[in-house]
Amino acid sequence: MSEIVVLLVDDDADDVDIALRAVRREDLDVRVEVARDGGEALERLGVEPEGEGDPPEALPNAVFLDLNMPRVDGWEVLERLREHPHTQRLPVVVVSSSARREDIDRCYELGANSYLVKRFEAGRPGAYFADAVRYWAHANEVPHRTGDRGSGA
Amino acid sequence: MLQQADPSISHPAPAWSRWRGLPVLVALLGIALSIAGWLYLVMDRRDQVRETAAQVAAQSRKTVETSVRSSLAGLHDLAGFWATMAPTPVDEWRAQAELLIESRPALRQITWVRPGAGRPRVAVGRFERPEPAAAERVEPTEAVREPQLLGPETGATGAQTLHALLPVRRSGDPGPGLGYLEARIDLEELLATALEESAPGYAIRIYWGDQLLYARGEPSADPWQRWWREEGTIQLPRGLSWRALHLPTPELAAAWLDPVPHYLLAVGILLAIALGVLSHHLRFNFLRARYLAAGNEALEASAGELRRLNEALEARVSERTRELESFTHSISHDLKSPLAAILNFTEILDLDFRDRPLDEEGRTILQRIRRSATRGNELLEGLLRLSRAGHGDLKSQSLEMERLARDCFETALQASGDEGVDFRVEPLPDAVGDRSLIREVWVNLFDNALKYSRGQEKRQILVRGRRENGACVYEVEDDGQGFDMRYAGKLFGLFQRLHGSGEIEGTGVGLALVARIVTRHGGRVEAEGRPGEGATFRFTLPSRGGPRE
Repeated sequence: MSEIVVLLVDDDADDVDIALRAVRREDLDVRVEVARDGGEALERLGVEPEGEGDPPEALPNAVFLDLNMPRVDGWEVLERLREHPHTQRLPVVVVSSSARREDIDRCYELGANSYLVKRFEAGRPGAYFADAVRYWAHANEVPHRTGDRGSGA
Repeated sequence: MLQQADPSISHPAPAWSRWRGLPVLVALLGIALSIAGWLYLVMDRRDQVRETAAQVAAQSRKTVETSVRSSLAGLHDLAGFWATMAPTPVDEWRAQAELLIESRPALRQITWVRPGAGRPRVAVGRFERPEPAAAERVEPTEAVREPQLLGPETGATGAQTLHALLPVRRSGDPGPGLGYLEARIDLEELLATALEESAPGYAIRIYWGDQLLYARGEPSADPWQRWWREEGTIQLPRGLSWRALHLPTPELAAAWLDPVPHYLLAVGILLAIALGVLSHHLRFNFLRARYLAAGNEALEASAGELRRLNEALEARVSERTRELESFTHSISHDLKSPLAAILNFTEILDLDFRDRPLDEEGRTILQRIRRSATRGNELLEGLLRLSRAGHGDLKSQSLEMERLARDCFETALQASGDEGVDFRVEPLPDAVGDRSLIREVWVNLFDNALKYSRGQEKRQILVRGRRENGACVYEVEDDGQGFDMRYAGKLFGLFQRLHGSGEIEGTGVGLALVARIVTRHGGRVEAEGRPGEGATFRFTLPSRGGPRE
């Protein structure tokens, strides 16, 4: 069984710290990779820059995507991922401090698989992230990439 | 501004309606017309009456003339006959004379006075007076060469008589002839007979000189009918003339002069007065209606103005509400972040550091907590400043921008603790505005420039200014990181940050503050930049008292 990897895309260092600690605290056996902004994320996932190099061999099981980021924000990342054939089916979980109805609906419209609000839970900091990782990384079955013969989990 | 409800300004009534004398004029006109009409009718009637009266009188006079002439003609014929047939036996003469007297009732006496003294005359006729009186007036025949008409003489009955003397002579005979014919005509009877059926309804008076010959009827005593009298001359032979007076009797006057025109006049005058009163009322109502209409228009205009003001007010209220809502939303949203971080990290300290001392890692957590708390504090302060900048009175002070800019740069530099910045200020035009607020603008812009050029070896900040189209334009240019023009719209938004919090610190309030202050002064903000090549921030201020709410 190969390693389970998820990609966390968030520019806020505090939120990233909280999320990582939560995963560690709950012994989730998942490697969390971090991208600091949308541009970095798209590069990591082989969507950007176009025409350069091959798409990466392994995609993470899921992408946890913050919305409010400078330069390239979560919206754009989501759109680009859904446009690109390789990442079309990649599970994307939007993780945002916004609980606004229009943001939630729009994310689903753009093709997000799930939407989480960064809520504070007393006694369990970063619980939203840990719980989601547990589900998406362990419970959920990962789709194959479009064009893939099959790569293993 | 609500309109004044003074209709006389916006809608002057027509001149005719403003004139108070209008009703009086109308009444007077009506009266004048009535009088004119009445006069016309009356005059017309009078003319008719006069014409008729003249005709009747003329006819009447003619009748008299004819009658007298006829009598005289009879005498004349008799005289002529006698002259031709003389000598005529007395009986025959008498018979003829009697015949004539028979046929002429007014003829009272005919006498043929033959020439020769002492010969008795032969008298025929009716005498009421004894003869001897007449005998005294016998004229010598030689005296009567021409016909003579004498009188008026008072006859035996007291009636006026005409005494006619006609010579009896053969034509062409220059001699004494055969004497003369004397006759007396009772004028009263003559005239009475002649005028029996003449001029009915008229009172007639016939005068010979001053002597009244004949009177019939009583004329109307009405002084209004003095105009209705016909006075004429009855021309008789031998230069004799009488005066005839025809006057209407009251009955005739009543029959001819009907009172209708007078009634009409009375009615007309009453109508005229009524019209005057009516026109007064109409005018009054007209003016009042106009005032009401104009007042209504003014009211409507005011109502429309009110509506517009209301709409404008509503728009402003909703704008303010929106601003407030976004403000509140920003606060709650953006404060949540540091607060959540504080909560989370304190939990982490509790959970993860229960059984271990506070080491390096622990202290990092503490730092995060502190940072978040500070950040929250700064956010609140920034919001407070923004709130203050958005309200309160905007002072209108004259600003020496060059000195102010240098001053503010010193402040920003001290606050940031930076060194080695190449700061240049070109001559700046002076402006008008709130000094403390414009200070904030400069400080924040310099703050921004310093932040974004931090870490560079050589740093340059340049300040420029110029006048353009009556406004003052100021620029702060730095050679720092710059930004992508695609995100220029976010720049001045509240809490919008183009760079992550890790790279550039700050609350995202500064530029929003700048934008707010400049907009309140009636100006604009702009920014240009290129990634890695620095940025230029520009703001304009209207040069003369432009602050707007």
